[in-house]
Amino acid sequence: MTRIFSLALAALAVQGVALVGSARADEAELQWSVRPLGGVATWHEETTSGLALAGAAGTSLGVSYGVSHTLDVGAEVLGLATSKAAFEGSTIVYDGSLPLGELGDRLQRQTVSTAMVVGPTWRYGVDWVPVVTLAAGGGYRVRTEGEFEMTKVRPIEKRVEKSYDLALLGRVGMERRVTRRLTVGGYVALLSTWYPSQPLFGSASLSLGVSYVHYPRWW
Amino acid sequence: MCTILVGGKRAALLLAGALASACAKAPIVAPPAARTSASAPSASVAASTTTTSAASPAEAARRKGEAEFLIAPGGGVIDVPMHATAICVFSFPEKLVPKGVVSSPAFEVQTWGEENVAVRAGEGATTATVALTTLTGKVKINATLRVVPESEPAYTLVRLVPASEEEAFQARVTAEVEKKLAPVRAQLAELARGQEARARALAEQAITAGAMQRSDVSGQRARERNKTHAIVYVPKTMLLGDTVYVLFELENRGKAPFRVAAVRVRGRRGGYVPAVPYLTPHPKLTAAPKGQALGVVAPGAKVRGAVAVPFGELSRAGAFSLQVAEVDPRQSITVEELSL
Repeated sequence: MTRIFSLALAALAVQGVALVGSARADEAELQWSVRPLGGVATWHEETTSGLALAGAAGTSLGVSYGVSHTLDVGAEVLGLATSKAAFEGSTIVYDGSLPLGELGDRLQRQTVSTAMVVGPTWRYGVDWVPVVTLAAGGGYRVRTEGEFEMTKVRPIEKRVEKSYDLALLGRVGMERRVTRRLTVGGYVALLSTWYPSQPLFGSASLSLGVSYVHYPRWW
Repeated sequence: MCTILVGGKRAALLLAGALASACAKAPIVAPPAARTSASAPSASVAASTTTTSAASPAEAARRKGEAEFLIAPGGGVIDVPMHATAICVFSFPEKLVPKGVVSSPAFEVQTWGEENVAVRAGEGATTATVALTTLTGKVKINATLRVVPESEPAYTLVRLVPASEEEAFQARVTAEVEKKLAPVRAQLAELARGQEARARALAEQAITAGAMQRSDVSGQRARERNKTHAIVYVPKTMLLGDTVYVLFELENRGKAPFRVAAVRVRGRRGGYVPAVPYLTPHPKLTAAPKGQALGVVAPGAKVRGAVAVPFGELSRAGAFSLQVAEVDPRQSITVEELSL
């Protein structure tokens, strides 16, 4: 999974660098965006045999500034919560019996992740605007208390876990300027968070965005 | 190439009536890039290729030593300056009577093919006339050969072209009108040049005086756009004396041309301030149909401009806005909250 996300982000980066020469963004324009998102998330749970997939939904709030006709830089806060993911092959033993995973029980757990990232956005148009964003930053992740699906056992090893993360975001999309102040867009994003003490968490999402754009006067 | 028309009797008489003084006294001024008439034998007007415009095609042709004469049915008289060291060829449109008549033995006249005659000035030759005619009699000329110094223009090739009396008359009139107009045109051009210099001097005096009175630059860095992706950027305003210059850039990032109908300045209270707009020439800034727009900014172009506003009006207005108006008012762009 780590490899998949790494490759995907690398591809986005290559695309961004390759197209930057033909890009035409909006110099000196400030763009405030809100993007509800929905998709899937996956992560590895310790003491289980592998990855599990869960639905994910959230929102991102962003602001970006056009430093040139080619490039925006922006910051973004995003948060998403997953549905319960079911992990098989748990090695946790309950009451001296066999590991619950071997008994066919699955460990269920949710993740709530927030991140704040900053990075460039390349914009490739004027009216219809393909965009590519790469951003990195930090986040905060909460994994809810784990519970086995059938036995309803809540093992002590799977209490609520909170941790800080490093976050990496890649997003491509298409924006359309509706009026001189309003832009709407559709996006595909990959978010990956990780920390040495935490398993890699990845999500792929689709989002629709609405942006308010204007030229700020800084003084 | 210059062409000289030799008109018939009627043409010459008509012309004498219409342009009496010119036709009677002066050689015809050949119109640039036009055929020139030569006079009829009966007319007292001698043909000439004199021109006044140094840059005209006729003058250029004359410098090359070529001339073309329109010969009316009655025949014509032409004047042919020659250099002593050169041969001058007379080219006719049809077969010639083999022997021409020359008034002076100092000039050597030889047929060259059936339709051409070559003339060379001999030792001590100064002037002579040579009479030449074609077999059909359609083209008859009496050419006055004059040996001129090397410093003066002369012919090395003279083409004779038959023409109707109407053509001859028309060419003659055109030549005469051109001759009359040439000095007037030159005078107008001179006046225009002077006017520009005077205006420039006055403007520079006013600017210098204003700069000495007071000068200030105020950064604005304000932008605005319209829905069709034209963007106006106001980097700064400049105060020189009693005038405020609001500088702006107009970048058209849209697909349609932006037609600048007007550039206005409006005070906070809503009134427009008298303003004089200016757009810097740019290859992608084209003129608009009369009265429609100040200029048309092509897609992808960025042009600069300024608008001059009386300082008194602007200071009373408080914060002000700059409007770059499009012919379609919905596409006009207004940059708000500018200040001195």
